[in-house]
Amino acid sequence: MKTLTRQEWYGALVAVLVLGIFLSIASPYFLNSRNLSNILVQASVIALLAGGQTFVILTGGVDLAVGSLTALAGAMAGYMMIKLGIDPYMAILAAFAIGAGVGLFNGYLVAFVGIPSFIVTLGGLTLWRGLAYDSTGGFDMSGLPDPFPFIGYGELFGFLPMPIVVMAVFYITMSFVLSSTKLGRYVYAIGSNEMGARQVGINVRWYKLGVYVVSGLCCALAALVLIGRMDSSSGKIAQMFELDAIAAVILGGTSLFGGRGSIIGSLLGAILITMIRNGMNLLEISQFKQMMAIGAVVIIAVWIDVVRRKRLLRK
Amino acid sequence: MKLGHITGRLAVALLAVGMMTAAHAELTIAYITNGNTNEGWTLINGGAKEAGKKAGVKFIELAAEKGELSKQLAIVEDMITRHVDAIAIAPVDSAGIAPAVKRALAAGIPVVAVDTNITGANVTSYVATDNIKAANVQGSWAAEQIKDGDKVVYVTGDQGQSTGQERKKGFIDALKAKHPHVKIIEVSTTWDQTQAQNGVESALRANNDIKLIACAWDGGALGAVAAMKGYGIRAGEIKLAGFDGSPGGLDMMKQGWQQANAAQMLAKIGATGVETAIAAAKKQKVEARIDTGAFLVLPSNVDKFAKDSGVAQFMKMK
Repeated sequence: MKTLTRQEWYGALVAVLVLGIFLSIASPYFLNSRNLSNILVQASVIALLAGGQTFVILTGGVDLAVGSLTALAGAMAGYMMIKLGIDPYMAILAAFAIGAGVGLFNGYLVAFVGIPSFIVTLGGLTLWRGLAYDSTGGFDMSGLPDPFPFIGYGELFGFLPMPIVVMAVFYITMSFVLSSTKLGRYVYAIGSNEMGARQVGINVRWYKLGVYVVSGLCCALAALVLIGRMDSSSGKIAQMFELDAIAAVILGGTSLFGGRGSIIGSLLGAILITMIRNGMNLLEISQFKQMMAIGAVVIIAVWIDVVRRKRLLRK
Repeated sequence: MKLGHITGRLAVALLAVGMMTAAHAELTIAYITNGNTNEGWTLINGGAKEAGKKAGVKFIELAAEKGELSKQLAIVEDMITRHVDAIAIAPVDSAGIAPAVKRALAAGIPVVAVDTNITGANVTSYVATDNIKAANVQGSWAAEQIKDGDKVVYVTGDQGQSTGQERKKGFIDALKAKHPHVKIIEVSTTWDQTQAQNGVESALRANNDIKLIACAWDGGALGAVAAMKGYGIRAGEIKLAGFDGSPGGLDMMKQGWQQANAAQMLAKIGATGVETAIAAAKKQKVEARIDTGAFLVLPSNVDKFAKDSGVAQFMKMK
């Protein structure tokens, strides 16, 4: 058991606390239960994507297509419910099937064909976005049936917003998978030394395939929360979410080089990014400066990761 | 003892500051745009900012990054947290922003929709060009240029959208009111310049007696000009009516290609949106639908209009 300060996610925790203290002083509107619950709700979709992304990055890959896949799953689910009148629970199943299917496709190309994940998912970024527009005819679908209003805006026990509940259950499950299952342990093994993992008899290809399926399923879940929150769906949702999701994972202390990191860090990373946006909104900082700030934060996080890796290698 | 003295003074000072802020309880207005950074939106946003400055309110301008709906949703939520007195918003998506707008309204914050309406929420007011009326202006001008029975080409916008439908209806109604036997050749587009060019080319190929071309937007007029050039038609041989009053449209007029343009009052849309939000914040009664009007730009007034509306800064032909 590592001490607190040696955990990969320690930096993210400190950053969340420091930023929280700063924003509490800078804005009278920051520190209240309503705003804090808003931040968690706003962070939920990115956090779900970051959860799946963590698995991919831990194996040393990256999934650039998560925003587009979220749009595809969300747009298709919306289309089925609104335009085709299909039962919402069937549409939810379909969304997960799409997520898993695209995950299988990505995973097969990366693990079995050997195309770099960067290329497969960069192509997917525009492929799935195009399919999302094409398959739904570019329509906006609004006024989603139950249970979507509940998923997006409902409150459990009358005070716990559902997106937060989904996010919490998801992270508890994911922590368990990563720490206590074969998949979890092998993900770390593959990421830190793929050759070595193969030599000790781990079926690297199948586990690599698995992480892309996990990421795809996470996209589907994120899509369901997102369209619930917007009470509408279309092919244009979740623009550039891959950037926020990857940034959340990196800010959470997971190494872009694979093998090192944690799922809890990604949650903290997602919260951190959302806090930055929320804080800048409350402090009335313009769109362009917000874009610059998020970009700078991502570069700094990777910078820290690279420096840390070099130091580890020297030891 | 001395410390107590200092604390006492501090308390008085703080109290004074507190009272001053209370006395100056100025209004805070949030203007939330859709993140578009094109020329038209630069003018609308400029008008909004100007109106905020003039009214002396605290003016917060925030934009949905890359036109992303969920970011705009988050901004509206944050502005509810921020307890702003009113929100003026140009929605990224008419339906998708409704859940957040409903929450703002429920929190007692008036919401004014700017340029694009919101469906599924009862906004305090909707400020935009009345497309039917603006297209009436365009159609009436066209009616004066031709005789009954003449052939006219109309380049439509997207007929799956209210804006496209209204502009077409407004133009045709006004034209037919004066010339019931006018022959209208329709070129259907989905706001696509290339579709406009191809359609006008076909129309020119099939008819050599077209008197006038009218377009639902200035991009369509650009396509029409390209088609006419391809046919060796010189500027002004066939009259052309644009719509929007965009920099490109007014440039075409300065070059002699366009003879009229039904211009939207872009800066006024933003300004009126913010002014209406301020009025609603002051608990004044506001109209549910405010038309910011249209202006018929002609070669005789194009320079003045370009200068007054702020469009000139984006034009190539000064």
